[in-house]
Amino acid sequence: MRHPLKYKPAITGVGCISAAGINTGEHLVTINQKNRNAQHVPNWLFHTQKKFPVFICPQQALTETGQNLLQSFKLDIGKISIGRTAKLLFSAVAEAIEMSGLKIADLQKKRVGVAIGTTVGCAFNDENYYQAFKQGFNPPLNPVLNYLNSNLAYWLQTVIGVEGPSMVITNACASGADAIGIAASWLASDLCDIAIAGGADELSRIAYNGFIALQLYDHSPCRPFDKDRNGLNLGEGAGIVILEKENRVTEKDKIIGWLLGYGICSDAWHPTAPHPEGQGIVKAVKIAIEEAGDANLKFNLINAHGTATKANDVAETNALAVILNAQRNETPIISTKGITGHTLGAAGAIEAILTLFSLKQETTDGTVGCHEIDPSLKVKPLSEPERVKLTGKIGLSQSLAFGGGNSALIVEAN
Amino acid sequence: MPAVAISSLQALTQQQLDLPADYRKKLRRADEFTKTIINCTYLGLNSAPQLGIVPEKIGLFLGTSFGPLETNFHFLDSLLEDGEGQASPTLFSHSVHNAAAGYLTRLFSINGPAITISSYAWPFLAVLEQAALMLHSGIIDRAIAVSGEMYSPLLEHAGQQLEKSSYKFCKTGAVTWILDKITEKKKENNIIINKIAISYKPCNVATFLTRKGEECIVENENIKISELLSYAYLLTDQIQKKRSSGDKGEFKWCVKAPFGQANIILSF
Repeated sequence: MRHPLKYKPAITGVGCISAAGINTGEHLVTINQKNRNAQHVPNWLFHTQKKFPVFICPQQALTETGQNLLQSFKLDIGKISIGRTAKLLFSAVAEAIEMSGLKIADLQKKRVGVAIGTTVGCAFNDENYYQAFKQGFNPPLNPVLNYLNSNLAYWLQTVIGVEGPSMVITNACASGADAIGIAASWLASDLCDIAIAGGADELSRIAYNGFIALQLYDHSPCRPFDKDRNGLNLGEGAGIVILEKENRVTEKDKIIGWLLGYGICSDAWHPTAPHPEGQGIVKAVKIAIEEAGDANLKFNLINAHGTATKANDVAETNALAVILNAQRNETPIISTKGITGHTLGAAGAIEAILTLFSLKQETTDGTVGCHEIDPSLKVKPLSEPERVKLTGKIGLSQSLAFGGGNSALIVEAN
Repeated sequence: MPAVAISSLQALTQQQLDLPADYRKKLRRADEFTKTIINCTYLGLNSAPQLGIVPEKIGLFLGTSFGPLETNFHFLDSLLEDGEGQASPTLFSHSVHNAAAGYLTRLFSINGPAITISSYAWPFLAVLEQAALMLHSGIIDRAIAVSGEMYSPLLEHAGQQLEKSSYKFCKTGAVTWILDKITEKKKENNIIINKIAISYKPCNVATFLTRKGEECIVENENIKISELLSYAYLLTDQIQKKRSSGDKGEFKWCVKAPFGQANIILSF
């Protein structure tokens, strides 16, 4: 039995960037209006002959809020060489810090843990350098140095000038959720006073072609839980939460919500497919409930991983039928990947934030892209036209990953 | 950090690979990074006491600096040579950073948490610390802490350019420690990790690759380090020697580099 947390980590700031918006507010509008910003890969991102939909962020990646924060460190944006993933991350971090009301000078006096999930962000994907090296040339080393400067957690701590535990989690599509859970464990163990946690990933040609090669990619905008769903669409973005020890937050109205529990379990089943009955995610949710310390916990909203691959949506809904049991017909279940695409290492964090804000608004919209629910699913997620009033403040965000990873975050809105 | 017991330690390079036939079959598609990590963990688990812990209570913590980088390049080769739409799905799935962790969970029936982390500094020490936290939280009763790196000609070449020397990137290798909760019996017979403290500081990022200025300090002796995994090999070797010698008492170990410092306090 896992020990329940002595105190709930308070969420005092969040930041979000994806194709659905450059901040959390824009995401909520996009969800409300059920907008889909799916497009083909633009040439400024990378060249491809393939015409599959992607969900991408603005070309500049670094928002005005992000630029302002960087400039406050007297960093010349024109001179620093940071990758697209780092820019997306910093945009989300800047929004989260601003929302939390924390001052950088105060952060620099505290122990600040940084846990960031990513997939593309830890890979060396410079094709020009690689090809030149293979051909026996000595290409300029800038791409290698940029790569060595791209450990997101170390980089972020260095830029902000804070000290504390630091970790990049590379648990594939669950990385962002795991980063938040791990950061919470640092707070609980008093390794830090504040944690900046979440995930970030840019869209890369390698991941794009990898998912196409695996035949997991839909030619059309993705349709989570739909009877005609045919795979995922990749996206890019970042999601960040600021976690603080609740008893150290002096202004209680600053608290957006709480992280009640985190669970993680392995399927030990298949390299890329989930266990068909979702055994791992069932156990992960059970552990998260144990951590929340309330065996009778009821979810008022579930934001599923909902990638729209045939295998994921079946496994996940099978698991939810077990998790919810008698409440299976009364708990709203959605996927937000219809508006963000699958942002890989960022997904778990972005989705936890969207879950929290739907709970705060006491309303959820249905799953964009889901027009006719697959009748074979054991639970019935909300379809696109639906909008439901929520009856409580507790939500579950699920993440499933290559390698058989499963993670669950339970959040409560203030 | 809560104290935990080390029940087994192993270090292995690719040259020492010696997997049983049934594992070789299951790993026929795996890259050398995964095979080496699996072999090392196989040896580590075999030399640890069999405690009958259920799969849900075993956690896996894998730390790496560069992960299966060469497999990533092999996928890129496949993409460049075969063209879009023809790239190898197998290579792609193996190029994902946590692919090795997936193999470990499947081959050793680990149903607890599996966490892969990426750090250019000391990924093995980072996973030891996280494993100890999870053991203490009660979520797991046993932790498998692993670190591995894969030889990379590209990074070796880059290191040589940076250093203007005959810099060598580490050979493919792995280190595995099996960690258990401390029981009264373990207190007497095992090696206990009492503390791990890691701190980082800004540096010239080239040193993450070249390891220039990295050194271990143990019992007033400074030992220079020149390769990526050396700190983990050295720590494992020194603990094994101390255990063999039958020495008792506290053992302090430190690693320093331009990018930070880590201290471990153990007791025998």
